[in-house]
Formats: sequence, C-alpha cells, structure tokens
Amino acid sequence: MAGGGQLHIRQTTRFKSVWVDLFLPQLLQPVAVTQLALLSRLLERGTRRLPDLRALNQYTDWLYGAAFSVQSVAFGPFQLLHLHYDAVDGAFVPRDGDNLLERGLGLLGEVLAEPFLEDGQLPQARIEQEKASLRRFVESLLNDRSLLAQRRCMECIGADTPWALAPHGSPAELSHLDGASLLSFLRNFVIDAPMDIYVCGDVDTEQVADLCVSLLPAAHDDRRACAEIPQLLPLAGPQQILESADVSQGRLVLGFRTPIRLGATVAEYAALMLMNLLFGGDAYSRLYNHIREQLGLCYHIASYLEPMAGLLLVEAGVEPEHRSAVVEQVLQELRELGTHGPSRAEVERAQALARQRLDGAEDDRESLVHFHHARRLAGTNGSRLQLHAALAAVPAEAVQSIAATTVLDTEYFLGPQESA
Amino acid sequence: MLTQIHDVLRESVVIDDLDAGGSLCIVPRQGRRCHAVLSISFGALHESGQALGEPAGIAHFLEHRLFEKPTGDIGERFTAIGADIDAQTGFTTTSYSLTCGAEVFPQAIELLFELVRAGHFPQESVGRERDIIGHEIQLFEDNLEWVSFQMLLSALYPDQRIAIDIAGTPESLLAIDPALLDRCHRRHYRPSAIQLLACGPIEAAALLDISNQGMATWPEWGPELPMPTSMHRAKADPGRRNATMSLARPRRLLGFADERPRQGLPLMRHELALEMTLDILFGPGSEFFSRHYESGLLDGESFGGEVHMDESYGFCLLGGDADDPGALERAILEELANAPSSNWIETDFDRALRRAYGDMVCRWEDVEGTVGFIESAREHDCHPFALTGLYSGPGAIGVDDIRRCLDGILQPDRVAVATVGAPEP
Repeated sequence: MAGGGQLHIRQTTRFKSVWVDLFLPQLLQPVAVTQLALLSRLLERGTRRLPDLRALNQYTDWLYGAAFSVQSVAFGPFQLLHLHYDAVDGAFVPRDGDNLLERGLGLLGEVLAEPFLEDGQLPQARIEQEKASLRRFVESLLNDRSLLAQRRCMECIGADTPWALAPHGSPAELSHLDGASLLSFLRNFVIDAPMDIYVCGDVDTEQVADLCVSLLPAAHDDRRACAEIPQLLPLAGPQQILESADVSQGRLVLGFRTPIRLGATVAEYAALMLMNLLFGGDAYSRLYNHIREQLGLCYHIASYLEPMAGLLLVEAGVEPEHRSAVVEQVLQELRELGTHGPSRAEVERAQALARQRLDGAEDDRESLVHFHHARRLAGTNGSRLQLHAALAAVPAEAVQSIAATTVLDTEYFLGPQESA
Repeated sequence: MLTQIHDVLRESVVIDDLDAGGSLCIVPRQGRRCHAVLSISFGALHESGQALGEPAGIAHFLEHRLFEKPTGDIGERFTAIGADIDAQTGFTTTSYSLTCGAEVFPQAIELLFELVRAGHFPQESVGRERDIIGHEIQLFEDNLEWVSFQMLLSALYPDQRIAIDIAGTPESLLAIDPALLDRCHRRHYRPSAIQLLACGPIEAAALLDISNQGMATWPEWGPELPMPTSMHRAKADPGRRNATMSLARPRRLLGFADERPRQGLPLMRHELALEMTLDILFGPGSEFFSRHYESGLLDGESFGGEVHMDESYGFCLLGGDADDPGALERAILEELANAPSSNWIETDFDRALRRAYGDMVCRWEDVEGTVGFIESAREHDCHPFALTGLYSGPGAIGVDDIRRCLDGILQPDRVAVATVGAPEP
C-alpha cells in the first residue's frame, strides 16, 4: 500500500468482530528499547481529539466495548510496537454499527500521528507518570516466578546480544529520556519502520485498503527493510546459573540450542516442531510421562521453542532437592531420543496434534497473524498448507538427528532463599 | 430435540435430554474446530467432608486419576487422534474439555465418555498422585493471582469449604485412598449429573446418538450410596486477612458478598448488573480510574473487578497493587459511599450497557467462548438466548438494577479485605 506498509486482509464471515493489528518493529537495542516501551504507554494516554485516558476509554466503550491497546512486545531479537483494535462486526449491533472499523482505523492513525501534545510537546507530567508506571511494571515482574525464571534464562543465553533484552526496557535508562527526544524518536519511527497491518473479519477488502491509505499516517515509500537477524554468541559450554528469591517452589529452566531456526526450510522446521512436541511440548510427552507421571518429581514440566534462535527451553517447578535429578533425567531423555530416535507412535501422535493445531489456527486470528508476521520477520515464507504437508512427511530420523545435535546452553534455577 | 435460532447473533442452539439422564446443548456452526465440555455437577463445594468419606480435594483428585485406565493413560489416546484434552475442577463442577478437528470429533466424544465413565484406582498410583498434587499446591503458593483470590475467600467466608483450596490441603490429601475415590466416583458421576456442551461443525443428531451410546453402559452406582444433597450456601462473615509474600508492592482486594440466594435468569441478571456497576464506578472509562491512575494511587495493570455468582455463593472483588493499599481501600470505600447520591449511574449507564453488549456478542466468537457462554447459562437452567434479552427489549437491565447492587451488596460496612505482601506494621 501507499506509504510502504504492507496490508494483509483476511476476509471471512467466521467471526463476530473485526480485528486490526498494526506492527512496527525495530531490533532490540539498549536505550531505544526503553524509549519505545515508554512511548507505547504514552500513546495509550490520549490523542489530540481524545485528550485523556477517560476520553479515550469512554470512546472505545461507546464503540460497543471495542478493545484498543498499544504494547511493546518482543519476538526473538525484535521489539514490536503493536497496536491492536477490535470491535464487534456492525452486522451484530442494533444500529448500523456506527462505522466501527472506520473509527478503529482512524483511532490507530490518530494515536500514531497525533498524540496528545501540550505546547507542541508530550506533556511532562504524563511522561513522569508513565516512567513511574513502567518502573512499577518492571518491579512487578517478580510476581510471576515462572516468567521471571524464563526471562533470566534468556538473559543468560543471549548475553551481550539483542536476544537478552526485554521489550519493557530498562528502568535505569528512563532518566535519560525527555519529551523532546521521545517525540522526535516517535515521528521518525512511525514513518520509517517497516509496517505490517493485518485486518481480519467480514470486511470489504477494497474499502479497507482505501481506509488504511486515508487514515493511517502517510510515510516514505521506502520504509526501511526489516533488520537481519543477529546471531547468538558462539556456545562456550554449558553454564549453570543458580539464583534465589522468595519462592515456595524452585523454577528450573534449561535452554538448549538446536540446529534449526524458523528461517530454515519448512521441512526442517516441521521436524523441530515435532521434536519439541514429543520431547516435552505435548501434554503426553516424554518429559511429562517420565519425570512427572513415573517418577513424580514435579507437577509442571514442559518444553517450548524460541523459534527465531532455534532454542528449545524446558521449564519445570522443582523443589531444590530434586533439581539435579530432574536435570539429569531431562538430559538422559534427550540422549535417549538422540541415540534411538522416537517410536513411530510418538511421531504419529505429534504429527496428529501439530496438524490439528495448525488447522485450528484457521479459527484463531491471533495465531493466524502471528504465524504470518513471525515468518515475515524471520525473512522466510512458507504457508500453513506447506507446513501442514511437511509435518506429515517428517521421518523419525529427522527428529532423532535434531535431538542428537541439540546441546545444553544454560541451566538456570531460581530457588527458595535457603537453598542458595 | 429443541432448536432455537437467534436472528441478530445468527446462531442456533439445540438442546435435548440424554436417554440415561443429563442433557446436551449444541451450537452447530461452520469452521474447522470442534470444542466440547463434559460437565459433571460435582465440585469442591459438594464434598461432604472427611467424616463422610469425602475429604477436601477429592473432586480434584478424582479428576486427575480418571485419566488412568487399565490400558494406560487415556490422554494419550486423545492426542493420538490429534485431540487436545484438558480438565478442571471448580467450586460446583468438574469439566472435561476437548478441542479437535471435525473429522475426529465423533471418536473424541466416545473417548470423552470413556474417560469419565469408569474409574481405575491402583494403590500405587494414588500415592504418586498425592505427591503430584502436593507439588501442584506448592506451585500455586507462588502465584499472586491465586494467593490473593484465596485470601479474599478466607476474608469473606472464614473457615468454610469455599475458602479452602479446591485441590485440598496436604493433610486432607492423606485421607484419600482408592476405596474413597471409587465410592466418590460412583456417587457423583451419575448420568443425571452430566451436561455435554459443544460447538463447531457438528451434526446434532449424530452427537446425540454417540452420547446416548457412550452413556448406555454406565456402571451401577448402588443403592447403598446416598444421593448427593444440595450444597449449603456459603455464609459470609466479612473480615480482614493477610498473606505474606515477597512482592514489589502489596496487593489489596476488597470483597463484597451477595447474601441473598438467587437462581436462574434473575441470578444472571444480577451478575450482569453487578459487573456493570463495577464498570460504571471503577472501570477504565470511570472518573475514579483516570483520577487515581494519574495520581499514581492505582496501578493500571493490576486494578480491576470480578463478579462470581452461583446458587451457592455470590461475591464480587475489586482492587489491585498499590504503594499505599490503605489509601486505595479508603478511596474505593469513599467512592461507594458517595455513589448512591451521585449521578454516575444515570449518565454512564448507556455507555456501560453498550460495552457489555459488545462483550456478550464477542463471547460467541470462537468455539471455546461459545461453549463457556452456554455452559454458564445451562448451569443456571437458562436458555443461552434468554441472556441476550437482558441487553435490550422489555426484559432489559435498567438503572434500578444497578441501584439495587449499590444498596444490597456494595456496602462499605460489609467489606472483606485481603492483603498480600509484606506484613503490615
């Protein structure tokens, strides 16, 4: 579309609302990450037309409780400014729907191009309020012990690279940020960053394209391309990090490097997905069956992928006295999978589940948008149909080969205070 | 088989009784995925207590153990056909939910009935399950949402079953053995206690057939087991409770009990009215929210309200994290004390109703949300479409409903207060 952005429309009558997601990415980097994190909060505070929190929230309430948010989120080494709007489809409301989609796209455009200013600047009082609010948010990350442990493990694996940075930025950098620098950063970012807009619902595609051109900020035709994906530093050998906090149960996170990334071929990535599912990603995986059900060493154990870096992470709630046993069992399961490979039944079960979830994404807009946008960021394509076919064709040997070349990078444990 | 169509929502609902007892409620629609919930009216509040052979936590324990069958874990058979299976024990129900593609849905439903139909409780696995649930209880002790909710229940309903963890306590778990599990299963998992709720590309008549077959071979539950009696309504005795937990700042929740028993559509009407009252006074569009967000008293991420209504309990909670929880509590109570004489209710009613209407429509959007909606309606013996009449037309909710919430429930002198964080000086 004009302005260098990419507009993706999914026309479907399957839903009762229309969703709009707008993404503007940058590589995670010190200071800029905190700048964008703070801006995302300030953008939620008001526009020229809707000057304060109450005016903005009441406006979306009148649009039948439309949801509106501006968030700074991370995907791999990228920080995304994510604007979201969704409102009931006009066909399901008593009157004509009050042009709910047009108003929504208009709101997103206003938020980016016409934030509330006082004397041409972002109001100082609001900047201070949002700095305080961001500090509180970062402090409250301690409240979720599992996320905290996962975050800390990622910081250790990605040390000195963008992979270590969190999308909320660093409170220590907040004091350097002032209204003038924030506004100038925003003005530049909005017209320069690669922009993807997703609209999904029962919409007229031509009308949506016209609305996007007229309501979203004008921009250079040559927005910059998405940055190259930076590499993790070479593996220096497994590291063990033991930390403690006031937790009732320890949180163990094991970070493994696999040889496959999202940018690999569809067939390779399909094999990694299956390997994760049957190893620890599915409710009846090897880790669940062996470590929870047979040995009763913990209640929660599961694995998940960090697809951009090709990391496999295992997370478990573990008492300190069981930590080494659980680590040894996870490593043993991985060796076993790498030596003997999965059984045919395991592969078939993982294939059935992966394909079912992929089919199910058809009914789930968040998954649809994520699937597409993640691949754009990774600089690869590959449709759901291709992945679906590739999943069915993965041989057990491909799973075994990934397991055999997957190595431990970091063992991270957040234990109760007395265990440290 | 009764089918009703809703012109505005463009949905249909099919309701029928199952031959052996229990009922079926389906929302057929196009799409790829099917979602179904098999709900048993047996939850933590039905447990009769240790003396009567049902120690706290046995409903949840049973839910975990039903997955084990003589041939192995039945969950693996769900995943083998590409179906996701999950289970959850609540205050008044145990729910088994599955999600899968339409092509395997009939098979998955057969498995769902097999899952709940018969128990298999070897001594050894019961002992191991006790350890696993012990780990689960401990895991939740670090979960702020859970701890603060649990504290509020203790402040509202001290020493009653509702205030004890649904999963039980380490002590009550010790009393659970294979014989008790078997007895409990036969007593509560009776056909008449079952509701099956489903949404997706489903043919209603075929699902009815499979369900009737699935229940045809139900084990006898034996005349020696007394029928479960109805639950006692939890009696509120509001007070203050604190839990110590290392947090960046304390969380304070205020709770208000609805002490009047309600059921059916009036219950659901009251639930909606209470949600709208909280939205008008404290929601993101309220004057209270913006004033105290700007002053820093209120934390935008954690501040909010919830309403929980059932025949056996009814309460709402409100609050969040605060540097000065005492000041937050005073501000909320002051707002409530002034609310009856302010005109917020009148001026903001239409806005709150539009917001609530939009939320209701969106709950019909995906298969999970739709099943959740029909499940809560059926739990209270309502037709799901009857609820839509609360938003417009002659039966619509009005300003008087909101005023009744203020007068009957949100009374500052009947507040229960829970705080989680460092101990108060």
